[in-house]
Amino acid sequence: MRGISPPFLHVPATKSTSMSIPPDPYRDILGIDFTPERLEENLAAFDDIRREIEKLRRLDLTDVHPAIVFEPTAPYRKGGGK
Amino acid sequence: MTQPLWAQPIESLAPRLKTGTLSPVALTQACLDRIAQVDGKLQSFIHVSATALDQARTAEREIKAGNWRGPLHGIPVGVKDNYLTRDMPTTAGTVAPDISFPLRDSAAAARLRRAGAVLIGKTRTHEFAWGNVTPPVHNPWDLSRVPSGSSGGSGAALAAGLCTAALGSDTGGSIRMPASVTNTVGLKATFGRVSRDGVVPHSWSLDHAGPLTRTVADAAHMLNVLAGYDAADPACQAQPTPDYTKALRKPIKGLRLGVCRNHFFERNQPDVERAVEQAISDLAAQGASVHEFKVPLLEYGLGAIFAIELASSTAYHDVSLRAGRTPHYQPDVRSLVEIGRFVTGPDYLKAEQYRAVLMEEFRKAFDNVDVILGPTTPVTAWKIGEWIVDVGGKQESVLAASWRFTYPYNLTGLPAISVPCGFDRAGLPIGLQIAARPFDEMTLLRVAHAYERTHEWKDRLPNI
Repeated sequence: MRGISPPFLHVPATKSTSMSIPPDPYRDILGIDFTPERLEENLAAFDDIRREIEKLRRLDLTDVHPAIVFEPTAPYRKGGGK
Repeated sequence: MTQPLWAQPIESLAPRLKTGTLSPVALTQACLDRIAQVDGKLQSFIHVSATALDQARTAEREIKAGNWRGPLHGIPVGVKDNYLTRDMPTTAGTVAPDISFPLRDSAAAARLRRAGAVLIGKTRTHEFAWGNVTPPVHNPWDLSRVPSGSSGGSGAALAAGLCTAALGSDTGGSIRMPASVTNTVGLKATFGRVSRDGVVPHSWSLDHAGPLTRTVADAAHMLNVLAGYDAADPACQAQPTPDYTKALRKPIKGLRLGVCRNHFFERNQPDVERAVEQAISDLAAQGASVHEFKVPLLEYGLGAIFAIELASSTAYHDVSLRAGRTPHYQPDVRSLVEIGRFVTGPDYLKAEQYRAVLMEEFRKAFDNVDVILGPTTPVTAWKIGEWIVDVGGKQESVLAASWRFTYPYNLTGLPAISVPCGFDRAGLPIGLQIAARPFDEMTLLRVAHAYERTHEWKDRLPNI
């Protein structure tokens, strides 16, 4: 579909040189900018939680709508019960 | 023997306040004296209102003039330090730099003021309402033990008679766990029942506002004031608000009591399990039937609530994280806020998908039962500084064990209450948790009161 690609999908030519330096998965992808020591501590603290989240990942919930409802009328609600 | 003023519930104080045989000033002064006497040991209040006696005098004048506002008029209420208040500072338990909160009333504080309550002070919360402890607060039943959290200040203050009722907030059990370990009643109403406007957010889709009280009747009185639609809280629902005190004293004969045998009964301290099984038998003896069932899907709940809670909390604290303020947080809270970065977008949405399925599983269970009974926590109050506890013969982290039975009702948004149901052999309180269908707080309170009025646990006071 021509003409509707948002600007962020276009890779500027000047960025091409950065392809030689692979992005750091923590800092550049996840936005995590901890010191190496702090990162290690946090990964250790996350270990038990990670195992629980991994269990969750194994569930097949493909056909389930998440328990989130987008409600476009919310800003128009007036009044209140305060 | 008549209990001292500071130990009495709203249900016995309110009629005397109404008729003028008890002064709100005398009641408030009794609580202030109690704070002066014991809070050095408990550390349950972070701020005591300078206007408490003025508020009480105003209440006294109004009542004398024939303008009694209702059962909370002149009642001293402690407000958890994550509720905004116009006349007392809010810290949400943090001393991190460049974080401040406005001086304005949260919806709950405003409702309590309109009902004539005396907002006596701010009770301590664990930082940003994280966690299952509330440092530096001590449990009045054993000062070497935690009052749980994060509403541990409210639980400790109420149990020790420093206020007549208190506000808490509950993201994974933070009203019900402190209630369970302090021999008080903690009510988390249905998600959307009580406005969270002006409560410092922790995890938007899990946070609940609600009361801790001495008795079930007091919880009904508090909910009568707190419940109701508020457009300022996007989750609040315009559901009818009945008079919750009408649920009290109704027999439970014919009601169906559900007991979910997996998850809630797989690993408990033996004294907790004994007390809760006895409570179920006692309720059945009042003519209710017991129906056992299982929800195998609960096995995945811990990962789901962690994914939602961590991701949400980290999103809320994102600016602080990027500004380098988190090193000023308490170490455990700092870790939790920072590790939320490891939760991915798909993890978060998978957890929300799981939540939809879990809600459906509980809906099916409620086809056959009217309430669900179980322990509030698998353990009684643990020692301050202890991070591993013995649960039914297994060493388990407090972080995993303490909220195991409470977080399912945050994931599902169902109303749940913790009611005192006994003591372990060390003299520490045990809580019975009762859950009901969405917005069926009437049945919840009916069953809770049926249990409470046939036992004397609520009349026991800590020796402090």
